[in-house]
Amino acid sequence: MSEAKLLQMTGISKSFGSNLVLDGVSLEVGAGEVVALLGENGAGKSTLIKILGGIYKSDGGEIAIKGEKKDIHSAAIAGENGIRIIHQEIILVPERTIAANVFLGRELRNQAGLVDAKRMERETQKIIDDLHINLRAGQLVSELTIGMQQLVEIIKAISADAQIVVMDEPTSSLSHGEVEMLFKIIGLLREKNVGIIYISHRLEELFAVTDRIVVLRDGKMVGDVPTKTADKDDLIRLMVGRELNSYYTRNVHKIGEKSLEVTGLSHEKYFKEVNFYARYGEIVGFAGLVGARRTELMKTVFGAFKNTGGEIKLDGKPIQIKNQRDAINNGIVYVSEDRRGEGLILDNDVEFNMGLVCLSDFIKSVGVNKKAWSEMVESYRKKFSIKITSPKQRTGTLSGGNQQKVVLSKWLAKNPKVIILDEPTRGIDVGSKAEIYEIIDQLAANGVSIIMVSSELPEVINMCNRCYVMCEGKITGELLEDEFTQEAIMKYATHRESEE
Amino acid sequence: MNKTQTKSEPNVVVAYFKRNVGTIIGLILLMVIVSVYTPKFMTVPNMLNLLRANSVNAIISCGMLIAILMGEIDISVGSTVGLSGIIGAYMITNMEAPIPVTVLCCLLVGAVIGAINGVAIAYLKVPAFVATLATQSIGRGLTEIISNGITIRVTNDSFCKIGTASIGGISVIIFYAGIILFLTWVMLNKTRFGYYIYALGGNKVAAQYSGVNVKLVNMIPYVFIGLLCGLGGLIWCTRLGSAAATLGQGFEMDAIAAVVIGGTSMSGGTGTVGGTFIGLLIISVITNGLNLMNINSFWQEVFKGIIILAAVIFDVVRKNRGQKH
Repeated sequence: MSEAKLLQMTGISKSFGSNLVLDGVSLEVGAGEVVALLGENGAGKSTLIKILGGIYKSDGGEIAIKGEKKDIHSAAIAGENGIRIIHQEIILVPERTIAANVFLGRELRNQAGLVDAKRMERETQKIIDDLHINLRAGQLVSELTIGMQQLVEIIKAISADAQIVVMDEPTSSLSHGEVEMLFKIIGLLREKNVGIIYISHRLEELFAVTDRIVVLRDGKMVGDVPTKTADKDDLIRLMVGRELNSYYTRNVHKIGEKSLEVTGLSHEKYFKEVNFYARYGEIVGFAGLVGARRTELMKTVFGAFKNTGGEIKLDGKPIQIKNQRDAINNGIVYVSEDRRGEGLILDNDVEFNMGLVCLSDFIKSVGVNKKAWSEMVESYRKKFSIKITSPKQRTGTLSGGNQQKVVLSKWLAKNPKVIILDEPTRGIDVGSKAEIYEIIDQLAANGVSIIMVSSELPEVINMCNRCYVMCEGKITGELLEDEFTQEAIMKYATHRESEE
Repeated sequence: MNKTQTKSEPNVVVAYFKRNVGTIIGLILLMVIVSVYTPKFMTVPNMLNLLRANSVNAIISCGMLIAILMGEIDISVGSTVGLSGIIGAYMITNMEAPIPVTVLCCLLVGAVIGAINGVAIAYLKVPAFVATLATQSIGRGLTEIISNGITIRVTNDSFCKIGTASIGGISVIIFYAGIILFLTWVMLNKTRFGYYIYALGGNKVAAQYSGVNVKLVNMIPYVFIGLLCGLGGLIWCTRLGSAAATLGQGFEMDAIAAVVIGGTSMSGGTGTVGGTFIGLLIISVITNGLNLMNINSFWQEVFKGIIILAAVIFDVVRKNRGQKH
């Protein structure tokens, strides 16, 4: 190579346990180049970025900056090497000024050794003016919109003299106008010879702003094409074109009457006028990308979020769901994607967690029917082959798969009519996954109505009878089993109004 | 470490000792040390005296245990004891109110303060520390106003019997404490409400998603704590035969100490009545022992502070170690 690239990541590998997340991935970014990193959830994008940012240590491969090999083993060292990562979640101190945030951790001082707020404000303002943004360095961050806060992150990167800026889904919470401003700023950074890695699911954005598109799938680099010659359909194929796995259990079940029917359901912020239904014995999928608002929709159906209109019917009769209790009492349960945060009480034991929802079966007024309780725990332990040393084992010490089985047991003990599974196999090893699929299939066979939110397309394609696709708070498509293809689902999932 | 006492082991006593082995050894060591220094310690009259002197703390600690189990705290307990006591004394002496009415008012005052705490914390989302700090100040201020800076004597002898009577030579207030400890144990281990308190303290969001009415479950315990403080105030003013504006000062400290020493985690979700009972005994032995050894009572404060700090550090270290698995 005659000229050293700004950034050169070569043969990067990383595994978590037995799970190979990155398999010899190489990525190059030149000065003044904008490179898109494209891939499905779990393709390894964020792991790669975390290695670049010094948050994870790679198992193999090397990173060179301007031809010089670097050992980036902490976030501080990444910063010293001019690497700035702008995360999806904004990490700013809201009640401080823009200038204070920009200089956080490297405050300028005057001769007396005290913080020189004026100079920090002046320097921040200079960058703001250079970028032609309408902001004042003395404004509080809390007064800004999310989009503007994102720009503060960029200002911070520029002020710290960043050479390589990584933007992780920067537009996910931006308005149309803010997106344009961001693109303009990316143009300015490019002129300053900054190398940019741009992560986004939104293909049309990649076409608008990047020079090259790198596609990751299952931890491998499967494509590296100049944006000019790239074709959207090809990219989608590259992104999802994996072999379908064979560990799904799917028997044909008799589909019954409509169970849950949702019409015109709206939420203040997240979605508007959503209609869908589910039937007994049916597995209905909800596919979409991160930020499609599927979880928010389901939490609203479950009563965890407040709706601002719409109707929920169960067995043809309208029902009122004001909180989780109403939903549970109506036989609608929600198995959260956030097992540790919303599903389990990790410090408590398996028995306690399993009995929590149907506690009234074991405690009438005073006194615990321990026999019935242990029998219930034992029956699920056997049925789902949950690996525990005793019913008194702390749930926090179980593996992801076993934790998920405990959560499922907890809800199934309530004999629900409708069970909403949100990412039921997230963070679960392959063996347990197959077992969870078997459980889901069994439930459907028993006539339970199942709604499955999943970002894993093969899971949706192989398990569901029918599937809805959501994009940005709207249902953009409904597909029947025989219409399921990854391409069709991805098309609806990336469907934006601007394309109509 | 097991969090609840729902174990169905054949031998409950063995399980209890296993669970609290650390604190039990600590208690025994303390008792041995104190006995060596003063022979008066290990006598029946002193033991009864020790239990009686700490009965009110036992009652308050039951309330504090529940607050800490929820991951919160109630620092208004001492001032509520004071307010209840001073109102009891004022009503019976200055207003010559009938005894049942006075008793009821003492309890009611506690319940009202508790309800204010509960509503502020559970429904209005005021941090428990701030809410109870505020009611502590309100309660203490009202106590000063009612007492007008002077000690109110209780001259009604039958009223005083509430705190001074004894059964078979054992002070009645030891029985009160026993009953409250038992009731709290039943509530925490034998009722759905108790399980919900553990669930709430362990993971509030998960409890809510499991259909627990977390606001109500969060609110009611504060009323219960208030009631216990009302009872505490009643016991003090009848036992002493008087009430002063300083009544109950520092009680929150003793209660927190007992609960924390008893192995309850400050972050909520884990802790038992049995553990708290041992915590109570440890605090009692320290106070009693230092008194018998004629050590300045200010030193007791210093020791208690050190012990609380040590107990919390122990808990935090254990938790951190657990997380690395």
